[in-house]
Amino acid sequence: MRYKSRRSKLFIVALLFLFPLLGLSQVPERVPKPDFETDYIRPDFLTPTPRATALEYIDIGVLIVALFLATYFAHKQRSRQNIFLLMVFSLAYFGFYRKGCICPIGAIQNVTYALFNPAYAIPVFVIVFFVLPLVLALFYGRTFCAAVCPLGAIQDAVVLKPTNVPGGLAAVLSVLPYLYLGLAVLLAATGAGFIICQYDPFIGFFRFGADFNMVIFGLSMLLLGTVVARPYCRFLCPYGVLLNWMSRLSKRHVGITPDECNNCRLCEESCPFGAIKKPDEAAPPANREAEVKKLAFIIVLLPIVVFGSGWIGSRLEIPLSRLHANVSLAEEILLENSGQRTELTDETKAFRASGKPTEELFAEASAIQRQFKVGGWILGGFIGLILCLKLINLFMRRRQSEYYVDKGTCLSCGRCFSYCPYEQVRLGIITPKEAEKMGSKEVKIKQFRA
Amino acid sequence: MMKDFQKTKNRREFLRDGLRAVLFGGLAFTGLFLGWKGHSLSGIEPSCLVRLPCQGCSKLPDCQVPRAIDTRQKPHDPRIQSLKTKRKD
Repeated sequence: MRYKSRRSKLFIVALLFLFPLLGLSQVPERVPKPDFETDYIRPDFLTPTPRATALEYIDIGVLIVALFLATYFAHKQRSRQNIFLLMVFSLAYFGFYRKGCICPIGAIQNVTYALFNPAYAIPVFVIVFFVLPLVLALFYGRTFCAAVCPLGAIQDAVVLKPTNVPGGLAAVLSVLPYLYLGLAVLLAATGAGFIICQYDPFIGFFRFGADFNMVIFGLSMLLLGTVVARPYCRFLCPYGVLLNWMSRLSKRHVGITPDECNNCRLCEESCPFGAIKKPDEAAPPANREAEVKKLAFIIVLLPIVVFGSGWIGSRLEIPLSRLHANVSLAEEILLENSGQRTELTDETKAFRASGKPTEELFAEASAIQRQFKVGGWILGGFIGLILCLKLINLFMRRRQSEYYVDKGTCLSCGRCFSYCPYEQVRLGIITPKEAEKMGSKEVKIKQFRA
Repeated sequence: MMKDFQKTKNRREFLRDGLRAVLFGGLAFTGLFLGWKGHSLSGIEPSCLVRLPCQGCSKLPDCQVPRAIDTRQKPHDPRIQSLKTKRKD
């Protein structure tokens, strides 16, 4: 049985790795540069065509049903199998059928752009896709990640032999999603672009075609995903940051055991995402006074770190603003006007043909650079704050007498359920007496306490 | 001792509930505000910032390349519509 499931997983992995290679042979580039002179053939769009409004409402309906089912399977049924089946459906519908657009991860940018650009009309279904999973996480945890997100599903399908990421490395990598979220918000707010969509590693798989570099990036992510479970979700996903915050406050969250934990330690290694935390009693007693001093030092240092990193962020104004089309065009025009560049580019040719005064373009570009300066301060300050909060978190002690799930990082995937002896009792596989026995046999914590 | 623990737990739960209510309200307000704004402005700007081949090209409205003429004649593609609207502005 185990051998069979391993074989079917290997088959899925092989298919996923072959898809983009097939697509790559058919699609040259996502957005090739236009030729304005002669024989111009307008390239076909590779981004999916917008759907009729009625179909968008169907997408909303599918999202609502999928979210409801994911929550039901995780909380009520506690069925990993059903969660997995729903995940396959989501991969097929939101991934391959809807070609990964729109997804809540990318919707962060639409929402930001809508908040900062008075002329931008955000479609209703984009708002729903952004808000609904967050609201659900606020009440029931990250069930969206478990079975509805196509990006999570494609990575979950390739998890073959997950290994634990060392604590220190995981802590460092966990800052990356905040940085990515901050950058995405900054670039969307200034109108520079939607980097989450541009650098989505799996979109090429869903659309059977992408830029060569993105295919390589996607394949690397999947390859890494065979041993490090869901690397994009854990160490890059910007929407995961928001879901993490919401899930920490969730009213009801999935637990490892349906009953009281007997600290049998059977679930200890069951979570490939490192979301299961050990009881504090098992940890060696620490020097409390020294830890309190360190904590006080970090709290005092916090404003300095926030200001310092804000300053560093503001210094990135020039390189970051070059990502905006108008700023890069203004720089090219400036180079051409000063004679430092003799060959005109397609963009500068088009601009010169428009008859728009260069002064107007330069004024626009410097206004955008000012926006980037302010945004850089905020982005830098935000990253500084996150770093300090992560350090503070290291010194915070919470009294916990049993194994528990970290509400923020738990994806509600249900992998740990079957490891709990009381879950086996609930399913009628073993008797309560046998479960008790398992606990008393394995647990060292109770002895340690005694 | 147990009473103190219970008290702390209740206080934490109260704060948690309050924060949850604030976040829920914030999300609902943002959603409704953006929905209202989107409804009153619909059709002015394209729905994403992915750069399209002709985006930013001032030649598009008068371009005589056959595919450009063909593009202008596709009234149902909102992406092309949005490009045309932008040029007219």
